[in-house]
Formats: sequence, structure tokens, C-alpha cells
Amino acid sequence: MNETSGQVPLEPRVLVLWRIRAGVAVAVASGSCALVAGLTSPAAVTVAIVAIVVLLAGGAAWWWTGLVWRSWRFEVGVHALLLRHGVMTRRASTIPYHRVQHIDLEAGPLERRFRLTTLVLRTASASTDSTVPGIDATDAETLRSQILALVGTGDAT
Amino acid sequence: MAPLPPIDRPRRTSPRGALLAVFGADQLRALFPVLVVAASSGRFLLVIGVAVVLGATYNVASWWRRTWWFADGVLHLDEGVVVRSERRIPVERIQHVEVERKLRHQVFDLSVVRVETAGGSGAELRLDAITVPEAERLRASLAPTAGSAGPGGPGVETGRDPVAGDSVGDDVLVRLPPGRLLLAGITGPEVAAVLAALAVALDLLSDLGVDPDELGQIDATRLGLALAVVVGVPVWLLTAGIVGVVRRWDLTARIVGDDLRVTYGLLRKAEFAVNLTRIQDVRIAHRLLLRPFARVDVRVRTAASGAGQQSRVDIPLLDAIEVDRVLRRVLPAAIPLPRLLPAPPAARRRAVFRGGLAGAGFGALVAAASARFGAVALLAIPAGAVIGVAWGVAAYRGLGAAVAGTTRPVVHSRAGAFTRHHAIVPSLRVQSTAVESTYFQRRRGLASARLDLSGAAVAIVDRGVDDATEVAVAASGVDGNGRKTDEAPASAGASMRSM
Repeated sequence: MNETSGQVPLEPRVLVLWRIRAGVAVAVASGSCALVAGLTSPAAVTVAIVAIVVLLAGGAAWWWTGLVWRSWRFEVGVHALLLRHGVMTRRASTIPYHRVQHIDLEAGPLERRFRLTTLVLRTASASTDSTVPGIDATDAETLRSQILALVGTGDAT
Repeated sequence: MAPLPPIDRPRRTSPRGALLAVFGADQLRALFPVLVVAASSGRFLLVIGVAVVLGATYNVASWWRRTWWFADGVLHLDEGVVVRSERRIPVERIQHVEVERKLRHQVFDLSVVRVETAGGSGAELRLDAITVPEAERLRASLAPTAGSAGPGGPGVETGRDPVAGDSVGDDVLVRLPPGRLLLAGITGPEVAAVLAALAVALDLLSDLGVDPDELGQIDATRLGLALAVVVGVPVWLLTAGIVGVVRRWDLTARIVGDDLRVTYGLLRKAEFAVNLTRIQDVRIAHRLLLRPFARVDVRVRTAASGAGQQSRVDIPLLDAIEVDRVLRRVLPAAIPLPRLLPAPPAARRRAVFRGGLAGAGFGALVAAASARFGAVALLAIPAGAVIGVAWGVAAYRGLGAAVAGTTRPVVHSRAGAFTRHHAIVPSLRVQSTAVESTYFQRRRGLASARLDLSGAAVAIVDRGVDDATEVAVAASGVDGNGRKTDEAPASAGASMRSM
């Protein structure tokens, strides 16, 4: 993958990761549904309710995570990082490198198993939208040093 | 008076200040539970005595352990009895300095100095309290270019007496007479504050045993209403006005060297000093009640931590000439104020639709709540819709935006149905930008631009997609291909430019 050329989508692995997370949430939700339904209704009804919850919530989560993944593009420009994402609310963010205060690379345990990293560019503004989830771990390292080399010195506030 | 000790040696805050801390809000808050425990324990004097001894010991200890000094361009504060903290603030990181003198400080000739830095962590430094001459000298030392950094201060121009510097570059921008402060109080947020106080007072009255059923009798209610209107309203407005006058007594904005200094207050005297290069953005508030008088409030913001009052100072009720005079010094790139371009017609349709929908929804709630009046209650729905539409139209009329200047553009954005806030943002201060569009905005071909500043964000709401993008590009200085605009050829067909 070549970061410097054009608009890059997120790693396809991150979609798998998001769907696993959504699956866990659906499992917890349907488990609690099963508990409540099992205490109040006969077994057949319980099975039906759980099946419907799993199908609806699971399907919605599958579809939505797909939409979110497809909406994502980022571009490491010459002077700024450009992000495009969002399903209902679409955002096109521009973060000029000379405003960057520091760069974070974050990865939870699940992300590490998938060799994924979240890249965050911090500016002096708290409202800056500059989180890129799901970059390949080795690519992220390269990206960080690449951006750090472009970050200017001086007072960014 | 004895000469001041050198500023670059560690010293304690004023012992008188430590004494006064007993009357501080923290201590008084701590006193309340002690009183409760004391009253319920049966050994009132013993508990109170122990608490007082402990509290006094702690006060003395924390005063003893608190030392501060200013050396080599760094302000130091070491404090803490149990947990020690050592705070260092390099002078070039200071956003602004506030000197505060409440009544008790005025009596004892003391000042509280607060030094604010940028960032959201609330990293401020507070000297509570030092003597007035010491505070004056410290503030003069902290002004990076206006004064000398004291003995041994490197890299700062020498031979310039800070006190003399004060009188040389002194340039009064505005000074508000009491009459105008009275008007500011009557039309400003103090009105709501006084109303809240009145509500509390009424609540107390009813607690004191005024029977609501008796109040419900028609004669009493009418009399009460009449009294409230004839006596209450003028008293209310007058109180709000007096509160405004006392709070902002003799509000003066002046330029001293490279600083903007705003001083105000009678019982609580305050001085807000910010280096002109530290100013983030300026907001001009056109309040509904003052629009006929062509008077506006000017708010100057710094990048200090905390989105609230710590990061800004208000100069109320200025006319056009005074606004021009203030901006000329505070944010010269902002003038002349450009004519703001209205939002596109699609934004009006969206505002009307949203307002009407919200109004009708609120009307439906009211109708449901007053269902006992029968079908008449349903009238609340169309009434709500009409009010909502009117509000939407007002909100649309409030929208305005412009980009002024080419090399270092300044973005102007105005919004608000009742109070119109006109934000003036130099692109120099914009950290990042975003063009956002919700599903409903996209259906009407609209988008909003968001400019992220240190400690705040300014939105340019409901423009055409191209216009919103153009504002974002001008503000960030980077085009859609990630290249700086001053290195790329200028975009054709720019429509948001007003200059």
C-alpha cells in the first residue's frame, strides 16, 4: 500500500474487527433478551424472540459497519492530512501538518491481534476531527514518521 | 514603603492573604458540614474548636509551603502540604494574565494574580494573594515585550522601566460611563440572574407559610399581578441595571505596549491583560434589544484553558466607531467589516421547515398537557408552528458569512435568531477545518464548515457545498488536494470573497 498517493480506504481487516465487536454487542443484547423472555414466556416464544433480535440487530450492525467502512477515505497530502467519512453526517476534514502538536498511535488488544493501529493527530483544538481507525500497524509507523517530518516547528497555537 | 525583594528569589505570598483565605469560598463551604456535625454531636464548642485549630494549622502550613518567583523568563510556583506541586510556566506560553481584587483584597491592599496558559487541562497558576505593588511588578515582568524580565532576565530588552512603559504606550480605546453600564445591565444576562433571585425569594416566601389556596382567590391574584407589574418590573430592571453598573464599574479597555488591558468592577476589581499576538478570535454580539440602538458587545477570546469565562473578556455596548477603534488595535485584519453574504435560499427553506416542525411538536406537547380544555387545546399546534416558522425565518436572517483578505484571510460568520453572534476568525488561528453535511442538508445541497480553534470552534452553517468548502480552504490554507493554497494556483470562481 502506498500512502502518499491519492485517497486511501481503511484496511479491510478493520471491517472484520468492527463486525466482531458488533457481534459481541448483539450477543450480549440477545442474551439479556433471552434471559428476560425465558423467565416470562414459554420456550418456543423465547427462541422466536431471540432469533428475531439476532437477525434484525445482527443484520443492521453488519449493514451499518459496511456503510461506515465504505464511507472512509484518507489522504496524506503534501501539507495536510485529509479525511472523508460519515454515513448520515458526512465530514471532510483538513488537518494542516504545521498545526499538529503530537501524533498518537493507539491499538487495543483486539486491534493488535489484527495488526491494526488507530492514528490520531492532536492539534491545539479539542474539536479537531483527526482519528484514522484501522491502519496497518507497520504502515502506521511509516505514516507517523512521514507526518512528523512534515510537522513544522514553532508556536502552533 | 520598604523596597520590594528581588523577584527572582523564592518568596511566600502575603501573610495577610493567608489570613483572608479564611473567608474564601472553599473554607466557608468546609465550615457548613462542621457546623452540622457540631450541632448534632452535643459538644458544640469542642468540635468547633478542634475544627478551627486544624483548619488554621492547615492554612498556615499551606501558606508556609507556597513559594513563587520569576526568573529567566519562567514563572515558578511550588505549593502543597501533602502533595507537593512545582509549576513552571515559560513566559512565552502565557495566554493572558488576570489580576483580581475583591472587596476584602481591596481593604488589605492585596491582589490575586491568575496566569492562564493554552490547552484543555486547566493548567493555570494562581497567586492568592500578593501585595498590590508586587502584583504590578509581576504583571509588568510577564508582558513579554513591554517590560524587562527583572534582574537577570535574559533575552529581553533592558533599560526600560515597566512602570514608565505603562504610561508611555497607554492608549485608551473605550471607557464606559455608568449610564451605559446601567443599560448593559438592563438588557444583559443580569436580568435573568435577578429574575432567578426573585424566583428564589418568592419560593422562600411561600415556604414561610403563605397559603397557595388563599393566593388562588381572584382578588388577591389580580392585586398581586398588578403589584408585580407596577412595582416588580421596574424594581427588577433597576436591580439588574445596578448589578451591571457595580460589576463592570468604570470598564476601561486600553492598549499598553503590546497588551490589551481591560479593567472593571467596583466591589470586585479585575484587570484582564492579554498580549495582542495571543488573541484567538473576536465575537461581536448583536443583542435583540440593542439592535435598534446599533449597539453591540465585543468579546475578545484567548486560547486559555476552559471554554468559560477564563478565556475571554467582554466589552459591552459599543457603537460602530468604538467597535472600529477596538478592532483596529485588537484584530486589524478584521476591518473594514465586510458585508456578510446571506445563506442560500435552500437554507431559508430548511430553517422554516425545522422551525415549523419543532414549533408544531412543542405545540403538540402543550396540547397534550392541556387536554382538559378540550378541542381548543389543539390550537396550540398551529400556534406553535407559526411561532416556530417565525423563529426559523429569524434564524435564517441571522446567518451571514464572508471571507476577507487573500494572503492571510479572515473568516466572518454570523448566526443566531435573537442575539446575533458575529465571529471573526483569523485563519492564522485555525487549527483544522471540516466540511460537514447531514443527510437533510445534502438533500438541499447544503453543508456547514467548522473551524477548530484552540478552546473553541466556529461554525459557518448552511452554505452551499462549494461555499462551505471554499471557507474551509481559506481558513486552513490547504486545498482539497492537501496542498497549501499559497503554493497552488488560486481557485477560480471564488464567491465567498468580499474583498
